[in-house]
Amino acid sequence: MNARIIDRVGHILAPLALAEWGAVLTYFYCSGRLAAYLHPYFRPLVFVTGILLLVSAGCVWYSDTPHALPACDDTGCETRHGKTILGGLFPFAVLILPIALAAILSPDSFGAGLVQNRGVRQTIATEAPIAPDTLPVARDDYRAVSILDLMMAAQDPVFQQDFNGKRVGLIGKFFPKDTTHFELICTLVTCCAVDAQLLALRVDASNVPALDKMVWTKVIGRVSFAKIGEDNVPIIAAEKITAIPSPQEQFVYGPSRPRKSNRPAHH
Amino acid sequence: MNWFTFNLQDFSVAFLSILFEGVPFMFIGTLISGIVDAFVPSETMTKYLPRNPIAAIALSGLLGVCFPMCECGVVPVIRRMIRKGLPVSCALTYLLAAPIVNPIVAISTFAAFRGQHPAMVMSMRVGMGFAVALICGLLVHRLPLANILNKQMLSSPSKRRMSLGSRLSSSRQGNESSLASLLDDAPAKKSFRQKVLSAVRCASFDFLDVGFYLVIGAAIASIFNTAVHRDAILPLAQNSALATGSMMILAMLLSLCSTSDAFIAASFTTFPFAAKLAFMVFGPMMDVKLLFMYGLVFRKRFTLPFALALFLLIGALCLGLSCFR
Repeated sequence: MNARIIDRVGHILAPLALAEWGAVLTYFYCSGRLAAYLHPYFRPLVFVTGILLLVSAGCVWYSDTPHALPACDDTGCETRHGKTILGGLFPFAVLILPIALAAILSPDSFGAGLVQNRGVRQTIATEAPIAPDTLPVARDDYRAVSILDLMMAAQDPVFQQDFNGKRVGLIGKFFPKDTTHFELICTLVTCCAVDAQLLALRVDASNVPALDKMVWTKVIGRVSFAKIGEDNVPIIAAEKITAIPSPQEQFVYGPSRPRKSNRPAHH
Repeated sequence: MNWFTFNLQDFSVAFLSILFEGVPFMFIGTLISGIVDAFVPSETMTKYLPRNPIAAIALSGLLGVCFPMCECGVVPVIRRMIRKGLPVSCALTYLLAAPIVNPIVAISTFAAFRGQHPAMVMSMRVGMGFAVALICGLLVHRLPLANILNKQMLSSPSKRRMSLGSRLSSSRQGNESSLASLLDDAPAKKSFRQKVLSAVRCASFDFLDVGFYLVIGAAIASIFNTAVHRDAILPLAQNSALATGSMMILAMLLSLCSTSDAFIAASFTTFPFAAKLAFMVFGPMMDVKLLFMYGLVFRKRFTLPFALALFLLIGALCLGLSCFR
């Protein structure tokens, strides 16, 4: 390839790479897929960045036209001539292929392998859980709570009383253990899926259904608490277990999630 | 126990998460870089620094309090600032300190360690982050620039990369006007529209430069984040030195954002406090993606020994602190 072709291709690669990144970010935000990766606080930033990257791609394209910028000065010289990382096809491939492939291949959810590798937590530091009596009662006579609320309640005797014996409904991912119990897994996220901590709630059932691992599952049952080793853990005695479609919000968030209880945390 | 199980789907989720979390902050960093390049004259960078090198380096270490940046965003900023005449020692101090010595990280650390002496953990993390950055800045201040900066940084006009020492000695000799003329870029006259276009262009190319290394770093970090069995490191928790070393290596491999890493550190309940502190101080200063991104500014021959020196320094400080406690 002669130098002119390399130069011309070099000028196309940068706007293309910027446009691709901008398109991926904007698409993930607009399609709602971003909910499987990031805390809600960060999502608008992704959208704004995506739009700005698309605008930047246009600006870079336009700035390559004659007379858009004055003759080279010291400061912008390397970018004016495309003498950046995009001097070759390999960096261009690194910039555009992995993000595109990951966007296509990603199932927007971690699988069972992560539970094995990362391990699960059955306790979490005390914060005030939602008070169950403040929740509306659903048609099947239960109150919808989260696994996080039960785990936080387990750390404090006063909160345990709020939940003990209550009929609750919760959702999580099914992870079979043996014929009499399984775990309901939820993912606690602070910033993004990389810092995810997997919380596992023990569910006792007389007949554990034959569901696939990590299938979204809804459990209705009664709450109790037990001390296992050093830890106070919640246990659900299941009455009804059903597989459900993936919810829009797959994570629970901490610690900035809104505090819904009217009681302070007890230490 | 199988300590390594790779799964492409988990990998792709982790990889995209790192990108989605890091890209907006990296873009903010490159935008600042572009604006600095197009609108800020070189002498502005150095005009407000104290003349005393120690004071200048210390001030750079505290800049994160006013200008908080995460580790992804800070790299393009300091790259441009060095080109604009900011002494390398000050830039390096800001680079290391800003992801830790900032209010957002202080608050998140406090929140993560609720019930585990949060105020003490937060102050020790911020204090040690500042101390380590200061020590590194002072050490780098004594090194020749050719040993630190990469070829690309060195090939831009050498007048912009004066070391703090030479800048100060020139100033002390009452050579302010000649110094200003040396640092002046003397750019071609541009209209405001052209300056904006130039800033966007500069920011875009910086974004692609840094993005290239972010992609490589994020890919490696995602492999370790999803494929390595965490229980493999649990036996190391029994020994303070081993625990501290292994937690620093883990911090490097996981490449977590400094605003969220405290929550992960707090979850390692079996590990001693020194190891958690080392995890929270070392991670934001040196992780896999940063190792690649630092390549945009520093020589490989500097980056690798520097990473090792940071590892030893932070490890020794954390272990020393745990003995003191």
